[in-house]
Amino acid sequence: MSAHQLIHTLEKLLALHQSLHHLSNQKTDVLKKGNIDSLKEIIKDEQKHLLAIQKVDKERELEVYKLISGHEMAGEHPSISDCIRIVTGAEKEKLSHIQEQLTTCLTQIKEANELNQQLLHQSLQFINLSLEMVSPEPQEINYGRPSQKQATSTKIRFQAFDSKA
Amino acid sequence: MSSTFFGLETARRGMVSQQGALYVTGQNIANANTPGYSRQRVNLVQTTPFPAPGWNRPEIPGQLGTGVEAGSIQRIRDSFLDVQYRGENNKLGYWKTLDENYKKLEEIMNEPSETGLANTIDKFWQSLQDLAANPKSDGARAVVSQRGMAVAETFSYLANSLNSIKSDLETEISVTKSQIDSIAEQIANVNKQIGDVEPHGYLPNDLYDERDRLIDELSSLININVEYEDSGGNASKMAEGQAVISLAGGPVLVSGDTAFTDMDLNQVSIGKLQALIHAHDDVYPQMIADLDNLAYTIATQFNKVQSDAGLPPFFDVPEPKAQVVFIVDNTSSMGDELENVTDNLEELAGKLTGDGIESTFGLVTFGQDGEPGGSPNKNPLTTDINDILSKLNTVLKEDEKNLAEPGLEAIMEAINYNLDSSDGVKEFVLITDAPVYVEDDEQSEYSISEVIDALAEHGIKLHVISKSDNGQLRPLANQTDGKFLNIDSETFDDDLYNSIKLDIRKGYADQMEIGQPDFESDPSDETSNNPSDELGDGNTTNILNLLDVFDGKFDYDLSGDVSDFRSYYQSVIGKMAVDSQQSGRLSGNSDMLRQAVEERRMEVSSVSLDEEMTNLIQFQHAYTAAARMITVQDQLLDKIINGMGTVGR
Repeated sequence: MSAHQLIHTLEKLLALHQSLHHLSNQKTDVLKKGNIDSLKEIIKDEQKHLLAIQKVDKERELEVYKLISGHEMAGEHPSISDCIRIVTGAEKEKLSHIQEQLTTCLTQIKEANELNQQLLHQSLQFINLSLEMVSPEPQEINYGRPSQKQATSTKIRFQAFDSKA
Repeated sequence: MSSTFFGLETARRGMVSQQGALYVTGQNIANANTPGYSRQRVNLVQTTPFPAPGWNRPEIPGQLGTGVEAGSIQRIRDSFLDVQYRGENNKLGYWKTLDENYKKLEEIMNEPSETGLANTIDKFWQSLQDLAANPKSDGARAVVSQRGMAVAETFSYLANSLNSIKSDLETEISVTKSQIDSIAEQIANVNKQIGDVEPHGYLPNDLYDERDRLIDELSSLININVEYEDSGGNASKMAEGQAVISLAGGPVLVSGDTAFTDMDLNQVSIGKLQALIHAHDDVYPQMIADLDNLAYTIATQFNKVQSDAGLPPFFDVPEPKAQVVFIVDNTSSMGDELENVTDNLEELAGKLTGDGIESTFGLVTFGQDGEPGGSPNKNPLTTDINDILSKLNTVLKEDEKNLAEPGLEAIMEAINYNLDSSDGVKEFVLITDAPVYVEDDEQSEYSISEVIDALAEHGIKLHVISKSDNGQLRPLANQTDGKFLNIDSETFDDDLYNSIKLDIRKGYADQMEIGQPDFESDPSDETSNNPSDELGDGNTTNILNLLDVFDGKFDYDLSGDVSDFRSYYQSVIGKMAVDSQQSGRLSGNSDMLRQAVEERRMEVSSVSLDEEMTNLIQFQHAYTAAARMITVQDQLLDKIINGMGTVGR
């Protein structure tokens, strides 16, 4: 059974992931500088990548099921190790090679994402603190003497500035 | 009625204040490149208007403003960013130091490479195979003994290097600790100076900058919390006050103008100091222990094969010996569990002798009423466990309470056995359930720290077998690296046995040597007359058995799991590599995060020359305008004084 199609799909998947990794690195640089516009661009790009990856992934699933059908698989879903067991010769080598590359790429993306997450967390901390200083907190959602309750308290919540000037 | 020189005074104030603002701008420009400098800004405020409201006020229109003054000179600094920066710096200190130490470890182990341990052992294995193919060849034999020596020397070299780095780490730890102490003292000094200035109402900005710089430096060494206390006096509302720095765990490091420099190393939290302690206590000893396990297991298995064939041992392994002293609580606090204890101790002795470990036992009993009086009962050392057990049994059945001093004295008595290291590893087993000492008891001869120091000096491990943890016993065991075992557990003889075994093989890798590599008296010599019988049974069985040691599965680390040499070594190196990679990655991450916060901090606090130049223009023109105002006032006064009342003159 030829794994040619599967290899082809996997190579496409690998290319997409590598470019996603490239994007993640760019995102790190942009986050450090605090450049919002470039960040928006990168996010749009990432969305496109994710859609493409989803599509290619569905193709991959079909290929794998075609290949595996009839053979036994370890666990619920067929894995690439099962495929490697089944094919022979040059294809076996290629599949193992791709498996290695995909796993390294995925780990790199994971690490880059972790770093981006921490950078974002830091920036958000700062922003939240600054915002809280200029916009007032909503009043206590609790009982109180009716004469002291202010009618304006319920409206304050979403205004950016409490400017009555 | 306002005074004559009212306008003049207002203009004068204007001039002076603008001049002050110019000075501050000049200060900012001059310090544009000073590290740690936060730009300063002058807050101009109006002076109190005239007249003040009251009954006797003059009836002039309005309240006339009286000018401006420089209210305060404040530095622009965001304290939240400081907190963020210190957090990231702290993590960076930890991961960077850990990463460096892992790199040193990797360099020493040097795998995979031609000079690493795996390759050396491979070559040894190959030489054995060559010998198996030519059992009569003298050259092959010589090669085997040479390669064997190489293996022993590699183990010894690795263990040696690791030990020397470990002792270097000790020095580094004490150096770091004194660094922390010195920074703490400097901060205390700065606090004192700030405390001298603030009550006058001033804001000592340069001192604040210096203090922040010192705290930043401190944050990379240990994790700290910073709080500020009022200086009192006539301090301005914007004054920061005295810094109180405490370690994340609680103890205070700097408070006001005093620095507490007797910090307990056990309470240190994340930072460079903790990374050094972690490397010294966990990373390097773990690797050394793994090497010990490997070396010991290979050596003993090899020797076993040799002795099974009736030949002298290949590796020089010292006889395993242990000296175990039981320190038993004689009162009824133990209850019925003591029978369980005696059973387990008998099994322990059985295991030790079954493994060929020569053991000597001792027994010290003490009773416990907290009343000083008699001394703990010390029995002579003996190699017969039954002797001890019988004495133990009689001791337990005695119902009279010995009027003896508390447990610390008993431990010191046991230390006075003066056990010799050459007679084996030294383990004390304390069996009790009640507190062994009264805290800060003046009548007690020894203090807990004295006892722990004495135990450490003699290299003795103290294990504790007890029913419940009353807060004293577990730390006692932990401080000497011993175990705390539950008396109800059925396996404490196993735990003790494993602990003793691990201790016996400690440090073996360092001393590994080959004994007399004696293939010369291999029985195969006698059958060497038969030249065609090269792979015959009698000749090479022994050598093939030796080869099997490498492929055989043994319990290398006494954990109960068996594996062969290659997989065990691979797992050891693999774990080291994974940990090293992680610390490298986290170190890079922390650096990047710290960099990001630093840039944000610079955005807020550093001097922007454009802004300062613009300010210069502003203040200078204001200054000129104020000077103009003075000219106007001057002309008014001139008119009044010299020009009024000269009609018709």
